[in-house]
Amino acid sequence: MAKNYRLGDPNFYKISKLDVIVISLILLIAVYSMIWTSIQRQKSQGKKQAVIYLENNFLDKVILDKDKNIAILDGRMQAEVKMGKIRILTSDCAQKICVGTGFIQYVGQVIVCVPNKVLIEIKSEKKPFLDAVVY
Amino acid sequence: MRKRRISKKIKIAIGLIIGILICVFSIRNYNSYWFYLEKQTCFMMDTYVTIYAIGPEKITKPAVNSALDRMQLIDKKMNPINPESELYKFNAQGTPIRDAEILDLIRIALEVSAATEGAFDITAFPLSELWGFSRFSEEEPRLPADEEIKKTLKNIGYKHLILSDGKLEKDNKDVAIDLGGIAKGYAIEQAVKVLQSQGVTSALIDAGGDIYALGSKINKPWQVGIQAPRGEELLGYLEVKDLAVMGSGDYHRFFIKDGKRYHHIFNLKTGYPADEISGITVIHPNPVLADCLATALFAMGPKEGIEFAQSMKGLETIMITASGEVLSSTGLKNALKVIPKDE
Repeated sequence: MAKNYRLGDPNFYKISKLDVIVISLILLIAVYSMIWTSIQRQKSQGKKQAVIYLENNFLDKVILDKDKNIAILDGRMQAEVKMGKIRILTSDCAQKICVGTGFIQYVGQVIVCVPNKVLIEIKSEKKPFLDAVVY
Repeated sequence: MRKRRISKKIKIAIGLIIGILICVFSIRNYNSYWFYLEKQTCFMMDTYVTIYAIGPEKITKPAVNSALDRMQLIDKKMNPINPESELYKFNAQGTPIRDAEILDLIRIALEVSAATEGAFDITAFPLSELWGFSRFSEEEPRLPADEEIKKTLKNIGYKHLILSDGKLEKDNKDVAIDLGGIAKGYAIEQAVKVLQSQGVTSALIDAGGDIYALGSKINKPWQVGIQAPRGEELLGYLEVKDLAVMGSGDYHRFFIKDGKRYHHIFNLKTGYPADEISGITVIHPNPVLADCLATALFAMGPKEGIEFAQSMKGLETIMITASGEVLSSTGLKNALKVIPKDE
């Protein structure tokens, strides 16, 4: 008749081959998950992006990894991406406050063109360090 | 025998895993319920306004909606180019202002004008219009002739305004007012009241780079970056809680002519832009005062501005002079922290 092991029974703590295989598998999966999560986090941390909104609606998303120029509103505004930063180069608005803002690069920083109702915000999948920027 | 041992172990293992999963799931649910982040943005007051509120969605969502609605109502009421507004009628036809809410705000504006000897003045509107820096201007800013500036200065000065018997009048028909230098602070103050009345205890209002931090962000203060007036870097960041942090500078509305920078904050004695400071940050628990004092301290210049800040309880400032020197009031010494390089 089979012996019924209980938690306090020393035999319960004996490790069989199958136990070793199961424990090894769990450890392997755990370590692999940690490494994979870490790699994914590092990848996403490097990818800052500028999200462009028109009247609060999503218009475009620009990854700030390569230098380039972007036309907004059929060229009425021109944005420049350079060394992980973005600025408005030209705009058809009167005050040019958006042009005067210059480059932005920190998560949470924004460029706003009120006459054109355009807002550009730096975003990242990484948790932002700053909650807002006073300017 | 082995089967039974394994079966028992597996049962315990499965039980443990289920227990852990329930714990993890409960913690996630708890966090997403209590620390839900509601974020809404609107264009108003010549800029964008974003409100972030942390708390249960059923509380934060309607509260942020109401706060933004309240701000939009204030924006409409305080708009001097809206023909229906009392401000428009006051400026264009001299009709006395009788709206109690507007008069309360004008009373504060006049007190700040008196305290700062006119460095902040809501009657500067015609000068802003002349230079093309008014937020309502559809023309590009320009350098006016000396004669134009002198002529316009005759109509500027808070002493032209008479506030008595529940109405505001003026002693000169060409005097015009704009509450743009104080209305944003007032709108923020009102939004905070709306949020608090609806049970929000943690929120951040960002009105075009003018901030109010309500409570703290879960268990730590809100972290607010400070823009450097030149270049792309930030000066650093401050940790704030239940404070307004307002900025002003010569880099918002400006033009450069013959190598000289002309901007929208004026020395009202000369009618030309104040040129001793390039950027300022003002901190005060009251957003209305923080808003108008950011302009006033900028116009006063570094020496007078710092002295004024030191003399007023709760008021702190960081200034960057035209030569690039960073000055701050005593309470902010060592408060500005360095942003980590990888941010």
